[in-house]
Amino acid sequence: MRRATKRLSAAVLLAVLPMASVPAAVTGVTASPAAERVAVARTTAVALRWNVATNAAGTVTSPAGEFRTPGGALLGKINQPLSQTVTAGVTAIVETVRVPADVIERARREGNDRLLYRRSFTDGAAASGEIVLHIAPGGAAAFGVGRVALAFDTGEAARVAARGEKLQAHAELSYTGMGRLRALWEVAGPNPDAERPAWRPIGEVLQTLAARDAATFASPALPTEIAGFYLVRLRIAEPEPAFEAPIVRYAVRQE
Amino acid sequence: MPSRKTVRKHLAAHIAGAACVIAACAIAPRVYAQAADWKPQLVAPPGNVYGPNDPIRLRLPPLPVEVLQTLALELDDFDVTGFVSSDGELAVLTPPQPLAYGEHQLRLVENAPDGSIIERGVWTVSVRKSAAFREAGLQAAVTLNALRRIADDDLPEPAAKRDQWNGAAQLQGAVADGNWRFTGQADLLASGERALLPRGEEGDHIDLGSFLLGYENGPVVARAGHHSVGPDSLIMSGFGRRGVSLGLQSARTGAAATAFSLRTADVIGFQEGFGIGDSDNRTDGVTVTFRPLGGATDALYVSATYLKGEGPSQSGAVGTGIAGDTTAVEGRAASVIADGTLLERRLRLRGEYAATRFDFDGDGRDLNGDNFIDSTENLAPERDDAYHALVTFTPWHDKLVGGQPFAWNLGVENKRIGTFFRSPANPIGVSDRELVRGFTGVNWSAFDAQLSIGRERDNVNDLPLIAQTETAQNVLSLTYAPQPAYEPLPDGSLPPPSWYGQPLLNLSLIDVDQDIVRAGLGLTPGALNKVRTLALTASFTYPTWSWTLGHTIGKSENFIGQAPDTKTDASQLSASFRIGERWTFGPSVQWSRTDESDVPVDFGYGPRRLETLTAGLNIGYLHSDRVSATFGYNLNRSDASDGSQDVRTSDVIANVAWTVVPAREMRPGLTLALDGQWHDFDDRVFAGSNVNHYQIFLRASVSWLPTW
Repeated sequence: MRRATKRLSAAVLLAVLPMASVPAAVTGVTASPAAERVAVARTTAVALRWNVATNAAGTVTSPAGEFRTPGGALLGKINQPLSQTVTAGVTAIVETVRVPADVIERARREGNDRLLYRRSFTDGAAASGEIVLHIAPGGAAAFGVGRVALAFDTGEAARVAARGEKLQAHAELSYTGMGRLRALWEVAGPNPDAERPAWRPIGEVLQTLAARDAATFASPALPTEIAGFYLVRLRIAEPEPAFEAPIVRYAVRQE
Repeated sequence: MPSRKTVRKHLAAHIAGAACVIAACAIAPRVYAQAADWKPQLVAPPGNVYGPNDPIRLRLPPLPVEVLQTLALELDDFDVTGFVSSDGELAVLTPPQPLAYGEHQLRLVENAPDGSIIERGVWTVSVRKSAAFREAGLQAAVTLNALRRIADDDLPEPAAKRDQWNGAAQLQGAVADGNWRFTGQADLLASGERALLPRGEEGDHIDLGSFLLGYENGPVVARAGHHSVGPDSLIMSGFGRRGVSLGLQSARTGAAATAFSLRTADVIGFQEGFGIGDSDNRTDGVTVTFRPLGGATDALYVSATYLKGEGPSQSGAVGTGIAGDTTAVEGRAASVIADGTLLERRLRLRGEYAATRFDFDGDGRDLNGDNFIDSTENLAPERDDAYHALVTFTPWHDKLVGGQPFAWNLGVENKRIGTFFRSPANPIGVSDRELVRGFTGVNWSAFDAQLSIGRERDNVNDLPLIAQTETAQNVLSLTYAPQPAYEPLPDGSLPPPSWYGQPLLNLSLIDVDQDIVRAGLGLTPGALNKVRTLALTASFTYPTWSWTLGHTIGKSENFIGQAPDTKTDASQLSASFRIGERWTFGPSVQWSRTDESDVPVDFGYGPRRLETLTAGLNIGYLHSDRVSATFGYNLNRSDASDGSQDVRTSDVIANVAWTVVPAREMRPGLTLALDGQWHDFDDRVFAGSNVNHYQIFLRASVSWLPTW
């Protein structure tokens, strides 16, 4: 976990937290860290924490984030809202933002060696904060997973297996920087709840990733003893990815 | 079919028994044919079509027994005399196993007393499905499950429906005649809950997994569905997508040319047809392969690929298992590969050059929100190139040391990939690299050693504002895998294996040092990262069980305050037992401990220890061919010493199944089962999502394995 505070995705926050009923005024926003590195010409996932100061309890929201040059020119937007209930004082709101390669490249071509990611939080009164993103080589950039491609041995994302068949999934990760990857292979099924699958961990991935930009991991043997429907995912706990873990699925035949 | 080819000089002895059968065909007639000029006749099959299991009949003239004893029948050069029986005046060959569709050569020979071989008849037997098609078949494997939840407790609300259904089917078929052959295969998934299927609520209750249709006709090869095209290259790798391809290939020269059109961002399910209807999300190209020195030699192989693509190349549609940057890009790429061997294949030389023209934002970004993208909102494409050169040398192919084969190879590679080198058909393509690597490997007896030493620099383009790093990566792997030789005991049985069974021991060491060699914003020359990983693995295999033990020690240091330093210990133990004919056990334990130190201030926490335990036990019980049971238990525990994390997950999966009616060809089968699940998720820091529930299903599964 990049930050002490448990990270919750913006989508989850929106889903579980009630909307504001008590007005609160946002009096200040800072980003932590204040600066991070993004890879030249490569999409980079950056984990950060917004420290939002308010003068009353309530719910603060930020509808979108913006990438800008140091001179203020707009480079791109992240239309991912953030929302969180707060108490008076400083509240940490966590976000993992995916900085697209074209945004970094646009900043560089305009003669910049950095760009800014800015968010404005509001509930009544608004305030904004920003993180400085230095353009760096991929190996020195922030450690983040920018892409996951999950598939079974033969490359499919959905397949049918015979009972007792040996079956594995593979995850192909693209990343920047160096750091420790901590992830769990999880399976739900047979017959998982479609809305709230009961994920059970079947294996851990713990490895320091460095210098290669891409890595592939194989799952433990997947359960195929009981006929039915199964879901598989690689849930990345660290670094916090900027996307929900993709899922692949398989069905086990009775005979 | 017999496994050895006919050895004609031994035929007489072999025929001694079987010839009696052939002889029996000719005993009745008393007037023998002239030994020098007789001819057998192939009896036409009913309907003039041979099926894979149909007997093949020969009519022989009356012959002396001495002649009959010297006859041998060959099918596709295999001696099948032993499978010949008599039917009146006919010799009947009953294939010991179904013959493949297509043409087979049948030959009757006579071993003359002077040692010569007289070919008495040779025929081409065409095995066909029907008069219309040489081959026509469709196999399906279908399961349909109906479930009723008969017991549950504390299921999260709203609970899933009490009555559920799901199903799956694998379909495979082929039709062929003459030079052409059409094949197809598809996986189908079905569920009463659409959210379980790849496309979720966007799809229907039955959806398509992957599929592939193929057509071959002489040199023409066409495919439609999920597939990849051409050899791996710097511009196209790991690019299995839905699409179509059409190729021409020559078996004589080894030359091939394939044109392809594949969807850039993969897609799944009954949507988008063959995946090529959207020109904004498609990669088109052509790949050509040929052997300039002739088709019979692999001394030199050349391939060239050109492609042009548009679309979100880093991501996939919902259900494809791919999550990444959804920015639509556009790019063109070309690659040429030459791969050849010299010095009796001891020296291999491979070179590749590739160039790309990549547009990072495709049609651009509407930055000002006016629903129009002007020139200032659209980045111009960037050109860059890359090359890869590889040399490997194997000093000898068949050297023996101490009576054991001794193999040694060494090689060197150089790779330079531009900062802006990017292809829409290589989603994980690494860029911005300049690598020099040397490697060597030795294999002797039970020992294998591999060593790789590499140096890599990034930012190879001239970008003075940006720092430059250099990485040294060294990898050593040592393996010991003896093959114990067991001498049979006097009674012919094998002795029990030694306590270590068949062992396999491996040690691997990875050492990475990363330094900043040119200053950039916020980065000054000096050490950046250092990573060491030592892994030890031992596995032991016995006739009915096996076990594996592994331990990994890792250490990483970051010198610029970007990440904590870590020390990691991880162990794993797994085993697989079979006890008797009925029981199987599969326990496994995986444990890891990570100590974090020198934590950057903005991380918001201090030094801490993270521990994770993952354990599992699977038990299988086979009561009979019809009744079986399985039990599985999984445990996962993750906690942090600073109290920021303490999560425990426990699961039990159990099942008892009774096959009431086994599926047999066209007859469906029925299985009744009880499936039980218990799930406990206990987050002791953030308790809001804790659950503890169980559910038991009564399941009826109908299986159908038809073949047409």
